[in-house]
Amino acid sequence: MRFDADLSDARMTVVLDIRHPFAYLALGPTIGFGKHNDLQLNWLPLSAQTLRPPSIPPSSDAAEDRSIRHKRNRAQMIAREIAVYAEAQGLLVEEPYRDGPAAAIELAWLWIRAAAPGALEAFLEEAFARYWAKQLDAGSIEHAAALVAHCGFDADRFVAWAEHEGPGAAAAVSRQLAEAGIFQTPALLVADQVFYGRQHLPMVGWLLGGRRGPGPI
Amino acid sequence: MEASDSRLSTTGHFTPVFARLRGEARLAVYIDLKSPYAYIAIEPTRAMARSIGVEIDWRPFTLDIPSYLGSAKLAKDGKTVESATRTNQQWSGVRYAYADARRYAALTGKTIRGTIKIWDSSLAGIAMLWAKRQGGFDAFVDTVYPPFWRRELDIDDLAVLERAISESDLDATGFRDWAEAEGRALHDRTNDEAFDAGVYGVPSYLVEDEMWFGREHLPRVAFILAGREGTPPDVANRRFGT
Repeated sequence: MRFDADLSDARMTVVLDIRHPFAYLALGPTIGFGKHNDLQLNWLPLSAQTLRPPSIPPSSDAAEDRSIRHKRNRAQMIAREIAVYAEAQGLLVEEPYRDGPAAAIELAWLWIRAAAPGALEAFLEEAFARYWAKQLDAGSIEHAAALVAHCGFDADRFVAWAEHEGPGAAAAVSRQLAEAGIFQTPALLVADQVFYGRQHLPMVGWLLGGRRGPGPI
Repeated sequence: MEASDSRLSTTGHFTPVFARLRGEARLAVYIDLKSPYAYIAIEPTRAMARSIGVEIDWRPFTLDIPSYLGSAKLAKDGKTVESATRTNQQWSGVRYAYADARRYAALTGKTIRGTIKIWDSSLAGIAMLWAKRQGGFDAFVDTVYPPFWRRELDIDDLAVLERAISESDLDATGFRDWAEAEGRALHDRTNDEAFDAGVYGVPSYLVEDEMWFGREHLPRVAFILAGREGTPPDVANRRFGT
């Protein structure tokens, strides 16, 4: 079983942080993109930066720093963006501002990726859906093992791996992603380029298709 | 506007403030000369609007970059950073943004060189307002964006902007006085109104009661302008009308 990040061999690598709503919004379209283009995608987990909620406006008329107002405007826009596009995709995002550890689900992700790569996308869809419905503690090995079992795999073998080799393998993947300069998700790595965000899928498709015709702008 | 405001808010995620800011225009778009993302958004935005038959109400919005991305200035050699108040994370974001804008710009033959400092582009914004009063916003923008991003245009210099107005086949007579008085006041007022309403970056799009930041939302803007028929599209950097 191969647990390394496989960045050099893969035609296209997709890096997601389960805790970021933009990663959830990217999951379905990216799976669809892979299927449409007959690609075996290299899915990798990364605990990067999570989303911060907008600050609360001051109750008085006191002057407020412009940078704080800027951040609030931006955070409010991102919240609207998540709500509108989640609704369009039929996704439930119970609470966009999630934090906490995701190590357990990342271990399960890497284990399924190595043990049953053909089942990984179904596993990710289930994991993300449960997490964003607040039915999954991404830091809990018990929750991760239950999900592994739900997907039809041997949870005991996963737990044994997660307690021994797993953390080292996960740390190696994180290190490889850091060395590749990945600092946020969703990240799409293709043709020696990094793209942050699912809006780049047309460009990625154009690159993978041999740059035929006018590129997306 | 109040009557039409209650008709809007189709998604329930927006407030009437954006419809009020948009005013009578069906589509209002905010840009800033010093934003590479605004530069590369102009062409697809025009193509999208053309494909639907909608006029664009272009508006300048002068970004206050140091307030949210820290400040930085290159030394005279044009390569080393002379002074900066940016965090590593801010640097990563800025470097990625330039690289990202550059690869898309290259597809349409545009040059985006790294900037040497964070410009105060308010004078350029005032010049956009001047050009807009003469119906020459597009011509002016097409005159100033390419050389600015080749680092060939000093937008701190009023005389340079005066010349750009003339090169756009517009009348620059009186621009200098206007820029220092009414033009400055108009620019500052409209900038504050936009910021107070929630605009914070460029390109920003106002359509019906919605506000979107970034050209990746053009598919949604087009969907709304075309009457919201069919399945709402996802974000995408893509071409229109081809």
